[in-house]
Amino acid sequence: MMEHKLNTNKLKSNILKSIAMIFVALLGVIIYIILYTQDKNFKFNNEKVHKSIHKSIKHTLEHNKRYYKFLLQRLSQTTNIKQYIINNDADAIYKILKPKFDLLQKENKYFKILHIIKPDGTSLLRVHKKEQFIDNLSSIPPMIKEAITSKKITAGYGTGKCSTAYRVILPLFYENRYIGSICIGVNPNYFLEKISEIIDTKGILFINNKNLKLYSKKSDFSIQNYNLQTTIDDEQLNVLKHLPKKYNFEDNIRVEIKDKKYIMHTENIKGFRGDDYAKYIFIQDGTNLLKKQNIMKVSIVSSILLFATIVFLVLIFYINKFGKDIDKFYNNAIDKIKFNKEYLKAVEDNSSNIIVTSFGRKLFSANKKFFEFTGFDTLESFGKKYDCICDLFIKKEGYLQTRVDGKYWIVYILENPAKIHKAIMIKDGVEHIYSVTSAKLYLDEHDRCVATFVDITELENIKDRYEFAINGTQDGLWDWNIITNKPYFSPRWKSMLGYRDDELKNEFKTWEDMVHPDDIKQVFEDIQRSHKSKDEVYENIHRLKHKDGHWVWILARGETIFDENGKAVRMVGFHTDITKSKELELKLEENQKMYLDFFECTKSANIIYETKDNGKTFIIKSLNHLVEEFEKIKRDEVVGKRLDEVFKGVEEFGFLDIFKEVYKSGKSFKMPVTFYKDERVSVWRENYIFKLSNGDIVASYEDKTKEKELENKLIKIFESMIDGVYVVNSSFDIEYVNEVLKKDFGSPEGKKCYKYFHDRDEVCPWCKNEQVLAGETVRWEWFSNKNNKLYDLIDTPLVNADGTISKLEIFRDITELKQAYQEIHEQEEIMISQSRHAAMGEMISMIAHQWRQPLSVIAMGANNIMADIELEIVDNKTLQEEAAEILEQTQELSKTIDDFKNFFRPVKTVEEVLPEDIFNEAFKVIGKSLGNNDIEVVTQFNNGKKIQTYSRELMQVFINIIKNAKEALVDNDIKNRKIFIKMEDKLDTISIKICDNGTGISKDIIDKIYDPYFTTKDKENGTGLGLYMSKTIIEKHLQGTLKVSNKDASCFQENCTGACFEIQLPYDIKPGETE
Amino acid sequence: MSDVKKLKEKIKKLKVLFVDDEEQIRDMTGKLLKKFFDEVTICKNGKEGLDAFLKTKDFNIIIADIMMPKMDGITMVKKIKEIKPDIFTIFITASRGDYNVEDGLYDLYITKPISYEDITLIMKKVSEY
Repeated sequence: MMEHKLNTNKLKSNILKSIAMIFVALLGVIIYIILYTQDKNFKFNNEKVHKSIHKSIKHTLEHNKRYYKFLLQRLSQTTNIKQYIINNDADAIYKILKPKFDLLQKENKYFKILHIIKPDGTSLLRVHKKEQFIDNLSSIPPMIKEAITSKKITAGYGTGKCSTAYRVILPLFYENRYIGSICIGVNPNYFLEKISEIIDTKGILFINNKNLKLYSKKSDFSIQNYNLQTTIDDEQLNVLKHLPKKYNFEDNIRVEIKDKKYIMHTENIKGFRGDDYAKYIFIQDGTNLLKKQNIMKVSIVSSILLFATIVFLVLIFYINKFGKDIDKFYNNAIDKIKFNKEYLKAVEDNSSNIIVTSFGRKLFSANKKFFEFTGFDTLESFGKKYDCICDLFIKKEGYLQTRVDGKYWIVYILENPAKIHKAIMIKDGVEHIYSVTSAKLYLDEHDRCVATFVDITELENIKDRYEFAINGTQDGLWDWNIITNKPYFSPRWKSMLGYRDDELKNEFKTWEDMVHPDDIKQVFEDIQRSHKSKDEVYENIHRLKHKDGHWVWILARGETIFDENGKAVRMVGFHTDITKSKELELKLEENQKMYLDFFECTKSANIIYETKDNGKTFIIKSLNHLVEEFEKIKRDEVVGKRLDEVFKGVEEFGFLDIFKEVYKSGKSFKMPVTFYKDERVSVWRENYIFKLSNGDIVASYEDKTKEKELENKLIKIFESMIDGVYVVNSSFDIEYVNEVLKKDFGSPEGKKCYKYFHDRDEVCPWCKNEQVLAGETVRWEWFSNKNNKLYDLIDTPLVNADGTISKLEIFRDITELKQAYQEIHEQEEIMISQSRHAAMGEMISMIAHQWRQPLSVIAMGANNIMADIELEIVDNKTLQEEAAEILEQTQELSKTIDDFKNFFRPVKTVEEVLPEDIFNEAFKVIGKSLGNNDIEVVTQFNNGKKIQTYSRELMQVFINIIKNAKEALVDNDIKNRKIFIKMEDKLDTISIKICDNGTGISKDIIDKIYDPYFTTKDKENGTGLGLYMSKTIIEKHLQGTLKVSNKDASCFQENCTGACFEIQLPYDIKPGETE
Repeated sequence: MSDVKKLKEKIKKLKVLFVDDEEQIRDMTGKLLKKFFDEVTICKNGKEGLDAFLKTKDFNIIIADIMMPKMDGITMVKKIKEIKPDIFTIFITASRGDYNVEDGLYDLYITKPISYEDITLIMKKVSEY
């Protein structure tokens, strides 16, 4: 805003005090000066206008560039965006950024690029052109190359694949790792238009030929190496054609065509590398301005002449005491001089701001913008409706009103120059915010005020956003004067760390001391970097120590302010407490990792399908390595393809319908083990299908081929088994029954086990399920009334794939076995009874031997008596002798009976006995028989230990073996028959040997001698049970051993030439082991 | 006079050789024989019996057990019969089936224990001899 000051009082006083001579001289000098400097003045003014416009251009460019950097920063902080970038999840990014992109484009049609770039420079996602994402590494535009190499924010004009644009590329870091970049781009015409709006002159864009792609639109018109890229009208073309031949976009060039005069403003547009990229040309029609200047010159000269004349007249009038009248006239004249200042008017009219001059409440003058704004042609017409521009002010808290603090608004502004005054007025139905400044004009005793209204709506909006960011998020503000190293921390900044405002000093050290040692290096680096260039926006995440000791995650953002020499002088920014989101981020990262680990490393094969066509088409989106393994496919080959395209057998498999159903209902579906076949695989699969919240369908499955094959094998085994097999679950539902059981019990269809086998309506009281399902194996017998079969049942727990337990029961038909067993048992009984009979016979024969002699003696006694009677020679003495003899013999008989009775004594308990005594008892029974057969018994007893045993049974064995030896000796007609008995204490056993000097047992039969019913004798003499029973008694009842050999060398007699039986018996018999 | 007395008168002059290894039986049987015969030679075994026969060779009747130590009754009888084939021979054994004896070797075969009927039979047969 220009300030005009004319010291009229001084002038007036000079005039009044000067004499005509001085006045004339002065007049001459003034005229001379005006005429002399007329040309120079023009140039000066022209320069000023140009500078003002140029400043506007620069400002607009700078403002918009900064705005887009800010925008990019905000976009890069979109929730989760970094995670998605790390995961290359273009779809997710697109989902988030597309609405933002659309909004931005709606605001500004020139906004055309939003691009996510991978760390290698290839494209991850073009939000503006989603379908185009395949990049060849070799054709990455230089600007992106530059950005990914430097990993710094890069901004500037650049030519992309298809278009030229002003691009801002921001590198993205995650935990100090470079993860890619985000880029936005704006059509260069945007800046032209913005500038045009402000300076009210249409801009023209020329682009350096080398930056024009082959397929870019190239116009016919070029200046030097620059090609015209804006559609221009004839007038503009004409002006361009009239430019000097060697014109190379020099600034501030004038072109005159006939009566038109143009001023050329140019702006050199640098590429991102600082190269000459493009040129902006603004052609300003300066005809009026120049004409006005000429008029102004004339009017100034004439005004001065008029003024001189007036002064002269005033002097005359003054002298003539017409002072007052002269004064009035003078003042009017001065007013006219002042407000006829066309130059000022022209400048004002060229201003983009509304400028009004008021006299008291009344508007005195207004510029072109004012009329554009109000829609009135003249001040008069405005005055008919409004008194004052303040009538247009919208009433709003904090904004200018007609009266502020009881004062008229313009007075208030003048009295408070340090304050920022804002007013809201409606333009085209939209509220615009204006910054209002005012200055006083002293033209005479009356004050006139100039008020300038600068439209700051856009700035305010940006500011609002900043303020919102600060207020809305409760961010802590800081402001650091780098020169004095004096920072300011807002109370909120301090409270974020748990301190009151007065608890922390506003010193750099305050912050420095609180930074986490691990973060301090990076934070200083980031600060330093932001001090180097305006393009560097400071952003860092670091930890600060809270008053109570924990660490607060801080997102620090700020901007560095530079002085005119480019030196960083101040930094302003704010801290955001992101502890929660940081923790969430760490957790999310962990979850993400867990999810990825889970997805990749789980035992299931997982495929994620994207749903298309409203749940009719399913596209493979992602899969894990197990899928590759199972299906013999490569991830890269199938991602993006349709389900039925990759898995040709799905329709038969029934997958498509299930997918559709799951998509429709949202309910997960567990598909039982089902056979799947295509050209690659023939397999059994167990699938679990579910829908994700984003509509994707996941198929998680396991390969059950081996299990199924095993199952089939098992079933084949079960089916071919003679035994019955069935499987039942904990709910008594029959899961499997083999053919054997089906044959006997029928089909188990829909029957519970108790119904199927037992025809019961409730659980059997003897049910073994509980035991078996608890892990026990149970063996039991069951007789089925249905088929009169006796079963040996083995119940075993069977762990199913899902962890539940079923019961496997094997039915062994033991009906026949049991019968056979019973037959054997009966047979044994018979044998035992036979053996008893035989023993009885044996005994009777032995008794006969024992009794033969006494009976003969008795008989002879009786015969003698009978003879005496017949011969009539009876005398008492002889009779007495005979009777005594008979009695003696009966005693003998009685003794024999006792011995045998002893043998038959039913002793069923274990006795402690000396084996020798048992032998002697046996000898009493069998001894006579041996003597009768002329057999000598030789004994050698070297034992003294008693043993615990069943003595009668041992005695029976002795008799059996000795009798056997006797028979062998007699049958083979052996001379000097001898039987040797030897007893000896060994460590754990007693050894009893019974040998003879016979011919021994023939080799042919030595293996058979213990067989029941095996005998070498005729039926009268042998039952074939003696040795069988002996073996049974010794080994089963007495827990000993019975062995036989021929010609035992260890026999104590040299002539042990025959068979040798050795009995070994333990000293103690163990209870419970005897059968 | 009873029949037995008459019978005794008839046979009392016959000379008897009695051989048995069982002492008690030998004693009791010897005692009985002496009631009927005036001259009874009693021996313990076959060898002793043979020796006694060879001393006089004057025996009319041999009564012998078969199963005896040193020399059995059959061997003894065979040897005696070589010298005096018509000697009246009676075997007294525990059981008949135990031994193989040629029918011509003996005149009477009595199993133990000897009953009184056996005694009267012996007397009768000897008297008829």
